[in-house]
Formats: sequence, structure tokens, C-alpha cells
Amino acid sequence: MFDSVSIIFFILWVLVVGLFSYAAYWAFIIRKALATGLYRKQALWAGTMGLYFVALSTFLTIALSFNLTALSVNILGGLLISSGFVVLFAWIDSTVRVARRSDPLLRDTLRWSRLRYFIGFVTVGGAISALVTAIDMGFAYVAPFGGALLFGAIALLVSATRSGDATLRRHLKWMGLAIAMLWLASQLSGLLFRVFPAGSITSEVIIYSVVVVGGFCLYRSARSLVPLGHLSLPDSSPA
Amino acid sequence: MLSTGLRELDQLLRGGYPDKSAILVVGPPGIGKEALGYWFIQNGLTREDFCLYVTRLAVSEVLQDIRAFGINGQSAPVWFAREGGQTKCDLSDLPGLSFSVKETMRRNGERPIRVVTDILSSLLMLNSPEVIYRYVSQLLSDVKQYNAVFLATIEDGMHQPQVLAAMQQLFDGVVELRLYEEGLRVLPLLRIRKMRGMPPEPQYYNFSFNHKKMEIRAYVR
Repeated sequence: MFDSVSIIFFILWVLVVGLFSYAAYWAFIIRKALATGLYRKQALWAGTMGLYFVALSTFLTIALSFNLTALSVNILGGLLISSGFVVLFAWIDSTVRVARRSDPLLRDTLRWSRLRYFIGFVTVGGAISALVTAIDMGFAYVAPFGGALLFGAIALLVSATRSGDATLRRHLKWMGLAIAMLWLASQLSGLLFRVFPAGSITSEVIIYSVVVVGGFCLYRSARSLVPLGHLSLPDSSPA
Repeated sequence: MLSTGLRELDQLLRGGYPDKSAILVVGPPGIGKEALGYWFIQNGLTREDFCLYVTRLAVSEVLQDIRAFGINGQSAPVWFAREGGQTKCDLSDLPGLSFSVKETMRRNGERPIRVVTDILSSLLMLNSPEVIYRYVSQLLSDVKQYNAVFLATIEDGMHQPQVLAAMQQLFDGVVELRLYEEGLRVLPLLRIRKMRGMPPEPQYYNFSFNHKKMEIRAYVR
């Protein structure tokens, strides 16, 4: 029942799911300890994105391993991928605006306050197109996340250099890298399928490796939202 | 002593913040250190003390945050703010800001004064630490000529540790709020690093914002 490709898919899936779940866990646990809405929201986004990628990679692994192509699977895949377009854009948009607030000069990175309307429009268009393609041709033919991730990654990395808050700088840097890795993985999937035959282990290993790096960056991003202290033994004696 | 506005914190401080003192609340962004200022001001308004809030934000933004903590008051403090206040808070004009604060306090009369500000981290980001050290030192010395308690918040993780240590040295009391990692848990803990008139307090306390108030309890590992 399970061939070698399925087993490799499964191992890669465990790695990806483990990392994204761990990132989501830390984001939610930090959110619980925070009191201010802005930072709680930021932690919520990081956690939600972790969970989204757990759901997406689980779906893709199961559907691709068992070669599921029923209409219901395509609709589910289309909904999952198209909702990702919107959620990813909302996450990036929220983070760029938080970053702007922490810039002492309140600079508008990449003129995001105006660019966001254009990218938002393109993203919603992409989401609708992804859903229609998934239902019509199958979820495997859906074009991967593109422009929003690329522009988002650049905006976050530029914002990271401008932020006056050292903690948020680290958070933005890791988040920008996570998004850049996810963008790279989405682009590689299109490129590698032209180089390697369909279902090639090599192409899957390369793509999943980049996603794993993205998962690690998301984990570091969640952990760096606030500085976490460690209690030394004398400090931690009962009060 | 001036009440902090929080019964549990008053007990911890044996009555509240000392008279004519400057208190620094240190903590990472998002942990809720501003809430200590909101309750302090709210308590002052109910006692008809003179309350001044100096903020880098717009009044509407601060009020939104205050309401999020479940604090609802009928009266309002005097605002120095980026927008919507009685006086515009211009962080690039340090002498002007200092002059406005002192003038406002001088005109107040004999009532106890409570000043709360969140501008310290912004000032440190826009100026060299040496300039801000001298500025805050002079401002605190001026404020203490009145019957005032000055409470400032500063971001942990945003400045160099030596800058933070230098700032703490200027204040009579330092309340530290931090998140600590304990295994797979994250705990918000509070510590009174120093307080004029109190022996050193090395103990940690758990705190949380529940049911529109702050709960503080002894931390036991």
C-alpha cells in the first residue's frame, strides 16, 4: 500500500507539521501571557499561520500520496489554498503596519499604505482563480502563492531594518525570512516539476526542505515576539 | 504614600508609591505595563488629585487601550499627547516639553500630583542615551519640588542593557514585569526591583489581568 515515495512524503510531512505546530504552540502560549491587544494580535497571526500550514501540508501529503482526485477533494483543496492567499496577505499586512508604528520616523515601507490595496486586490483575484482552477482542473494545478508573499517578505525585511524596537526587529526579520522561504518553496514547485518527472522524490525533498526552513523561521519569529527571561535558581525560590 | 489604584500592588508596596517619588515600570512590549499607569491615574482622578498624562500617542489611542483594560472613568486627566490633548507632545522639543510639564504642575496649586508618561523609550530612540539621561535627571529633580509622584514606563528588549540600567538608577522605585520561560510554559512575573523606603525585595509574583483588574499572587516554582 505504501511505496517508498509515500514513506518519504510521510517523513517530510512529520517534519513540517512538527515544526509548524511547535511554532503555533509558542505563538499561542506567548499570546496568552500578553496583555496588550496589538501584540496579542501579532502572536495570534503567527499561531494561525502555523496551524494553516499544518492543515495545508497535511492535506497535500494525504491527497498526493493517495492520488485523491474526487471533486470533493478538489473543492476542499481549492478552499484551503484560496483561503491561504487571503490569510497570508492579512498576516503580512497586519505585520507591516505594526512595524511602521515601531519605526521612530513612521516610514511607509514600499509605500505599503497604498500598495496594500493593489496587492489585496490581486490576492483576492488570485484566491478566486485558485478556487475555480481547483474545481475545474484539480487542486494540483493551482498556481502557488506568488506576488503577495514576495512583496510581503521584502516589506517585512525592510521594515525590520527601520524599526526602532530591537525585539520587533528580530521578530520581523524571522517572519520575513519565513515568508521568503514559503515564497521560494511555492516557486520551486513550479520550476522543479519541469525538471524532474511528476512525483519525483528529489523535487519533493527539495521543496519540503525549503518549507522546513520556513517552519523553523516561523518558530523563531513566534519566540522572538517578546524577550523571554530564564529564572536562575536563587531567583526562583518560593516567595 | 499614594495608592497605585490596585489593592494587591498597594499591599506589596506597603501602602502605595512613596510621596515625591519617581517610579519606573520596566517590561517588554505588550505585557501591560501601561495598565499600571492607567490605574494610578484612575485612582488619582477619583481622589481629585491633579493628574497629567504625557504620551507619544494620540488621546484616542490611549483611551481605546484604557477601555480594553476595563477601566472606565467619568473624569479625565490633563493630556500632553500627539493629538487630541490640551498640549501637543512634541518629542523633538525636549526643553519645550519639560517647560510645559513644570508650568502645568506649578499652576495646579496644592493638590497631590500624579504624572504618568510613556515617552521614555521613544526619547531614547530619537536621542543619544547621554542626552536623555541628563534630561530625565533634570526633569525628575524639577518634578520632585512639587508634591508629585512621577510614573514612567520603559520597554524592555528595545534598549541596550546598560542604558536600561542607567535609567533605573535615576528612579526611586523600579517595578519589573517580565515573561519567563519555564519548560513549555510562559509566565508573566512581577518583581519590585527597588523602592524607596523598602528593603530589597527579591521575590517574584505571578500577575494576570483578569475580570478588569490585576491579580497578583506569590510565585512558587
